Amino acid sequence: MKQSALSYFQYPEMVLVPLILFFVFFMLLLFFITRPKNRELFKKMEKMPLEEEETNNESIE
Amino acid sequence: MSMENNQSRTVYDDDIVKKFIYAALIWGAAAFAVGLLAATQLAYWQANFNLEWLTFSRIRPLHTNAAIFAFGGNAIFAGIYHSSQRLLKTRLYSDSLSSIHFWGWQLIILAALITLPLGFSQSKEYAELEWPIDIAITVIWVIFAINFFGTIAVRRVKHLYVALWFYIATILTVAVLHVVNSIEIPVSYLQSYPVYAGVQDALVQWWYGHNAVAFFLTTPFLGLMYYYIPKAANRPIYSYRLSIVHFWSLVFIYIWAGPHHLLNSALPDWAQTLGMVFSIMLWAPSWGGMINGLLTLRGAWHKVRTDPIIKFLAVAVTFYGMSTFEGPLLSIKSVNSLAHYTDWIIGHVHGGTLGWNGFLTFGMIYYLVPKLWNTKLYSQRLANNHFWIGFFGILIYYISMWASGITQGLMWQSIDANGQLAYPDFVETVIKIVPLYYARAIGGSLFLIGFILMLINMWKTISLAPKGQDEQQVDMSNITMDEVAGTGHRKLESLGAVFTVLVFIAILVGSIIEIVPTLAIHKYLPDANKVRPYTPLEQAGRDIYVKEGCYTCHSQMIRKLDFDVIRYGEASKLEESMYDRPFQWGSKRTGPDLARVGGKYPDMWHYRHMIDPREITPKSIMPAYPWLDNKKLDYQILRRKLSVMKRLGVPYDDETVANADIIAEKESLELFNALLEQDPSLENIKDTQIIALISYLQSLGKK
Ligand code: HEC
Repeated sequence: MKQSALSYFQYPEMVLVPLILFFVFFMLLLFFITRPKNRELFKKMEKMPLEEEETNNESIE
Repeated sequence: MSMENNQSRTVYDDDIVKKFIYAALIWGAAAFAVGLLAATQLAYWQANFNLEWLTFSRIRPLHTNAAIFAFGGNAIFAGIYHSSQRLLKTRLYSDSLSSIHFWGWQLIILAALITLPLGFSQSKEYAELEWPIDIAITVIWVIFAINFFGTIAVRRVKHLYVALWFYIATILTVAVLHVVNSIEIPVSYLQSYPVYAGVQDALVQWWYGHNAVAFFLTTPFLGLMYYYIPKAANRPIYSYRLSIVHFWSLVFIYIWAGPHHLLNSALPDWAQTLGMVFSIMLWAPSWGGMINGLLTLRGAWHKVRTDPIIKFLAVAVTFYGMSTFEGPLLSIKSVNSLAHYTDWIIGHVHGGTLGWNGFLTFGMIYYLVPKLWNTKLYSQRLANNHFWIGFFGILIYYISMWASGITQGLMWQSIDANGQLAYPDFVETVIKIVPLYYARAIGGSLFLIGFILMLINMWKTISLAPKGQDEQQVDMSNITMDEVAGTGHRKLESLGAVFTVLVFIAILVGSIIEIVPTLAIHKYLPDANKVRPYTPLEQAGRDIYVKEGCYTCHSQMIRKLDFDVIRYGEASKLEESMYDRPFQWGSKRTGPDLARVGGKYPDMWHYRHMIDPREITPKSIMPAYPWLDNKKLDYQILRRKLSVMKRLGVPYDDETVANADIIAEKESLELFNALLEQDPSLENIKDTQIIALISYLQSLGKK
């Protein structure tokens, strides 16, 4: 009996483990992105793809 | 490295970017053309030409692999190498590694192009390539990784822009997926058995398969989106915060979603629920990403009408949103019971690949080519025409497959007042959708025609570009460097490393919790339930089934759904596939499920049907396999095959392994004699492959 129960490993609680993990993870993430301290950083980061143009164009030899 | 990092000037390696663009264009044409051929074969079976290496079941894996790894792969390598140098303000780490990466990848594609049509296939979707090529892929991927992480290590800026995060996640996860899913034991130079069997193989394969979509077709393209949309629109990403949430949620959630490919199957319920819940959760971050991409274009909307680049990018992101809405929907068990195994899934996939991956790549290439060759696009009009023709192509493709899928799904389900199937004859449900297969082929042709316009445009643009330019030097002296190589450099490297480790943990946790319990499952099967292993001849026949790629049209998994059970018999049980290496549960039913086809028809029926399906079922669209009754079966190798199986835990006794060839020959002779008795003209089919295949088909569901 125990054997056949194991054989199909019905373990619905299993779904909760990753859900809780994700919840904790997500909260940490929200904490990180809303910290006022990081504001400057994000401002700087979002400009990164656009920075290169200025240096690139004028430098054709 | 041709330039030292601490000099104030550098030369970006754009040569390698150009090479990857050429490769993406060339392989793209091949991938789309082969796709069109496959689509045509389903509408018009004669397009199989009765040639083994042109048959649908060999061509279809060629199409998927070429589209994903040859077109998609070369496109992302081009974009990653181009954008990373600019974001990291340095030349790629090593010119030789770049070169090995490029040529190695092209050789792998060439190897696929040769081996797949010849039938060297593991028949695991998007992982069909045989073991020597698997090893080559690993090596080249590691070289790519060293080159990429090396570039990060010698960078001139401190912070890693979000696009780079997506690249890091891609490189890391694809490596893990590929290695874990490709653990196989060779039985010859071009054949192997996976170490996983049955349900384990199914779970590992779809963990791989789904995450190939996630980490080969989504994360790298999102990285490209986060770089090229701001570039093309000349404005920063709408919300950097949102991009962080987008990234981490995707990486965390995606890895769990694989089991949505196995809903209502014999896979344990908890794993199915896990797959469903996490797939539905995926909707949120995906749409966050789409909104972020689209809102970046706010204020640049007027350009959507005039600038083909923006057009392609905007529509690509919209298709990303559409596919990531549809995906979670399809993962809901009840919706899935209608859509699974039907063409709806094919429509869904092509919304993603043609719309999202294709159009994003086109937008990127239209942006890059004039820049890299220091010229202007030859013709805006051609590009606009490409856009519209391609767009209508996708719509026609998508709508026809959607209609086809829902038609199939409803017909399979439909049960009349007496509790009988309304369409008991499977082929009825096939005939009904053939017109839609023609429509799909038209959609595909339009997409290809659009692409050809692009090829012409690119060829003209490049050939009219000014010749003999020196490589551009980029001035780095006014880069507001946080740190320069030397001082504090270690710290920078370690930041990148910490980040990489975090990503690694996120994907590993999901993978382990989901896969490990299933790896032990066969141990707990009650002895009474265990089935007998395949006889040597059946195993030989199974290998032919795998080689021919019958899984491209046939499933072997009867779901726990009434209408499946009424049509095909008792729902499939775990133990029935416990010795199946590779598993062949399948993902699409262009033909009927075969899990219990054993004993349903006489041997002669199968013989005639395989040689010419239309002789048995006049309207069938199944290809003919006439070569199977003149190719001899290799009995000798069966000893090695069975001994590998035995080593993997299949309970063969030593005697069976040692005499596998003799046993198989005897089995084959019996079947042959019985056929010969009914039809004396069959004297030539002694010892041919078709006899083994019939013996395998007759064993299905009979163990
Ligand atoms: C292009 C899709 C396609 C491919 C590839 C394909 N089949 Fe089929 N198959 C069908 C269709 C459609 C039917 C139903 C019509 C008929 O009976 O031919 C079918 C029917 C069958 C049946 C009869 C099932 C039943 O219950 O009536 C068998 C057996 C079969 N196929 C075996 C194979 C084998 C073995 C291969 C690989 C060598 C294969 N098929 C490849 C499409 C395909």
